[in-house]
Amino acid sequence: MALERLEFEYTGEPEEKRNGWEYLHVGHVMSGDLEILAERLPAQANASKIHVTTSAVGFGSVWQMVIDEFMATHKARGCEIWINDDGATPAVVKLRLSQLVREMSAK
Amino acid sequence: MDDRWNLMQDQPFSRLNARERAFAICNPESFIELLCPRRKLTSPHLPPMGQTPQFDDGIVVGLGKAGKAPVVVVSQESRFVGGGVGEVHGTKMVMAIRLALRGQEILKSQYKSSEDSGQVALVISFDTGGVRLQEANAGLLAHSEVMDAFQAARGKVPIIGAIGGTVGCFGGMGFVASSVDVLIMSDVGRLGLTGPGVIEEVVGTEEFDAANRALVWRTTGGRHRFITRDADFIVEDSMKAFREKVSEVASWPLEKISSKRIIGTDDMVLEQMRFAELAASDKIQDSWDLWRQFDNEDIEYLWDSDVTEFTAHAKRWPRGRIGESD
Amino acid sequence: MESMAARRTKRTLRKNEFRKRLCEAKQFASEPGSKIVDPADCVSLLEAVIQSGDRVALEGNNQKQADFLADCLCNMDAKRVNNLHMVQSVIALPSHCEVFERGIAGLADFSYSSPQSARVAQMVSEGKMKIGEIHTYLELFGRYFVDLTPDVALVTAISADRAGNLYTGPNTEDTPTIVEATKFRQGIVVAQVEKIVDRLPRVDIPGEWVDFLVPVGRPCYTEPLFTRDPALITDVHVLMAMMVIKGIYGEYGVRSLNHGIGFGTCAIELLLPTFAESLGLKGKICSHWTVNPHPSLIPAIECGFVESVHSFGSEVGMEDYMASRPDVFFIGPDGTMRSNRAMCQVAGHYAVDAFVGSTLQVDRYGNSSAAVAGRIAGFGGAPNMGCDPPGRRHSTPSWLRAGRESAMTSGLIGPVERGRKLVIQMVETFGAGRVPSFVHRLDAWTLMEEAGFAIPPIMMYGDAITHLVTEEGIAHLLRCDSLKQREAAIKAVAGYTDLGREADPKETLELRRHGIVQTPEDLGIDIGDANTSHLAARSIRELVEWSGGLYRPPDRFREW
Repeated sequence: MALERLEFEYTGEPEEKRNGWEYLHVGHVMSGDLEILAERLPAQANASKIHVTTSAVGFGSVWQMVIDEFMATHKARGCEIWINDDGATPAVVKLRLSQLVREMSAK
Repeated sequence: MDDRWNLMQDQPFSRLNARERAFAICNPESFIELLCPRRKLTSPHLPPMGQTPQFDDGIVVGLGKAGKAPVVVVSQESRFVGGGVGEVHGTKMVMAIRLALRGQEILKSQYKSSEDSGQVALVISFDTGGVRLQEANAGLLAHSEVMDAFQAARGKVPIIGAIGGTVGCFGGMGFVASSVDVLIMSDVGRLGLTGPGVIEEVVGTEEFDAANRALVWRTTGGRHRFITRDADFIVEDSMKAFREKVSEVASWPLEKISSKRIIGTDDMVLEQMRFAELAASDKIQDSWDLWRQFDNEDIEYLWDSDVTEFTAHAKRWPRGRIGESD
Repeated sequence: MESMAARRTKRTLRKNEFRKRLCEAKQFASEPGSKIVDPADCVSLLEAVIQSGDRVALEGNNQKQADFLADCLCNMDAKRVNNLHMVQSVIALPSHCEVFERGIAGLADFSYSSPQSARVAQMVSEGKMKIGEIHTYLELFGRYFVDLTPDVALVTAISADRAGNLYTGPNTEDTPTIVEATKFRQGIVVAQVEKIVDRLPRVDIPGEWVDFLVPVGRPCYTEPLFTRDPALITDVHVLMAMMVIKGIYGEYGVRSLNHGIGFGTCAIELLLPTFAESLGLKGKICSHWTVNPHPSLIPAIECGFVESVHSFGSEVGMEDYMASRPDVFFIGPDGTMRSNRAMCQVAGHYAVDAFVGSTLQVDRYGNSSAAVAGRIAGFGGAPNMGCDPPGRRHSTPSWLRAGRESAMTSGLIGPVERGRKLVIQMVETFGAGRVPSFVHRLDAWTLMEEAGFAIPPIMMYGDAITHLVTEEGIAHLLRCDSLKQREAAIKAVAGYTDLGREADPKETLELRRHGIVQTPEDLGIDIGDANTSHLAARSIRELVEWSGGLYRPPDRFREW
């Protein structure tokens, strides 16, 4: 019945270029979907933390793979990402993360 | 930023989310969200039940300008638990009303006339099924607190309601929406107390088929509510139409806005009761019978016409004359 | 050797038998010499024209249903008439099962039974229903003219005149096929109609072929099966639809096609006036269709993408809109559309460049099935749409290009050029409730064991599939030169399912390098930009607006 909470942490080179966003928000919590909140960490920070809260228990290894792949592709560093998930499929998770990245580069 | 605002004006109001509606109902670049998702003010009740919370608890509140008027905006998000009112959601709504009242007092104390200061208006976009069942006690309490705050704001802060989302406004929030000064609906918007699904469950599918959306809409939708005068205005399902109407009403003098209210005096209550009596009488089997009672002849035309034609031709409940005509 | 007399008797036996029944049934006519029978006498009529052991064709497909006649069939006295052999396109209504539950019918040959799939499986396990075979529509229609010719046909039409001529209108569907098969082998045809009129808009079935008319005073039940509310299309559907348009339709120049009824194909239809137009594909793709009149096609028609649409059936609410576009739809001299399932199935089988469908499960070989244990759902028309017809001989640019790319063909027929129809499956790696769509073993095998079938009910065999599209990308299976490579390509787009996790990243990269697998990135599609704002219409109401108010959606879809 309880929610599952997962944490992921990544380190790497700090970004060269900082876009103008401080925080971003995409999506909604509804069945099969999720919301993502991204917050800028202070400059120089090169780590990223990702917090997942999900109602679908037992999918930790899939989350690990999806987020590993996302971080490997997009190198989103120096930010903290919060995800509230209500049973989204990996397809939806990847799509929302990509929408977030698009917002990041738009600002 | 202006591009985004412009783009939204052309969108159907019903397709936008609560944050987009709040942002686009204000003048460009004027909306500031309070207690935004970053504050992570989430429901404490949902997680123990295995339900994922949302960072804004399904409601957006903030400040902006609508035309010349400073406004406090409240906008419900129906995608999250059907727009259900929980503890945090309700508190954000109540605090927004109080903020509008406090803002009005400050303006009054600093400027001699409202012409100099402008007048703070409260705008609420309803998109909710009422109480959030998972936190029913807190949700119910929030409803009464909202009504209480409405009382406190009465005669001081004009309250403008808007209903045009996909869920509409049902349950306890149906009462709240009926207590605003001016209510604006689109024909996509619905207003009622008991939701269609619950009615079907109680009276049976033969009597009320909730899957028959046309039936649901002609019983609770904007067209019907305009004819029965529960809604003051019916606008097209467009962001721009809602924004323009809100700006227009917000610029009216307080007295004019307050005069649109449909409850609040003994006479008004009596009148509503007479209306309810008519609606419950044997000759009314369907909302369209009620439309005919008010001398509407070409019902099919009214049903299929666009909002402009509908507004021009629909004959509404002749308020105050029900007793006579019967 | 039979005697001359015996042969003569045999020649006339069938004809005489039906003549006898017709004479007996005439007492139920509303007046002497009339074909009209009062609905109240319909059960008695059926008891007179149908005899135990008869083969009965009951009309009904996934749209219109001879529902009144189905009810009457159930109300016959099972002691008098039983052991019927039902031959019908679909088992869809509760009454279609009832006739077996009550012991009136015993054997069924059909195509599709999804709406009653659980009940059919249960009746089979209880021995109440025996299944002859489960067919595609074309197979069943074919057998009507070979070894499953009906003795009695129970059909439905909109109206009839006193001579028995039928007007079946936009939902003509299966009627001509059933009536022709029955009547030209001397069988009996009974039609339920809404009303009897003096003058029909047009004659769809000649009166000579119809024996009895039952005017029931209401339209027959018709399901608006092909109406998809655009509001339910998700961003993932949009992403996959963009990939199909850019990576397949645009690439091969797909001019003629058939679409299934999933939301993925609905998204494609609604992206034609926007995304496809922005790629300069108007006039180059999607001009000729063999599909039902999907309301979601309206924007593409209005934008001039579509040149023609021929349909299996009609769609509730589309009648006036279709009548306004005789340049696109098949409209009779009377001004209304006529569908024909057999013709459209033939067209979709032989005359199109591509088919796009969706499915529930795909195995490592690309075999796909919507079969679920405990449910017998049948096939419908999808296997005929979703295959490369070996009999095809005419060529189109898309067909030739696909043929040239088919890496495994030359291994069978040597260096001879032949084309290929594109068969595209769109499937999200995880379906509703996070159930994986890619599996090691199809549920079809379990169903086969349960129901005692000879073979697993596979909807489409892997060798028919040219393209598999998931949110991960496109697998151009036709470009693979071995089963092993096909498996690798399938795994490469199977995402985070168990099967997908078996993909070797190095091999996937190699497949991408050879253009066998393409990700959205390879296609130049930004996943972050895939959202429903690109759709030409995002609600039923916007479809009505596109149609200029001519499309009238059924009440259950009106949300304003």
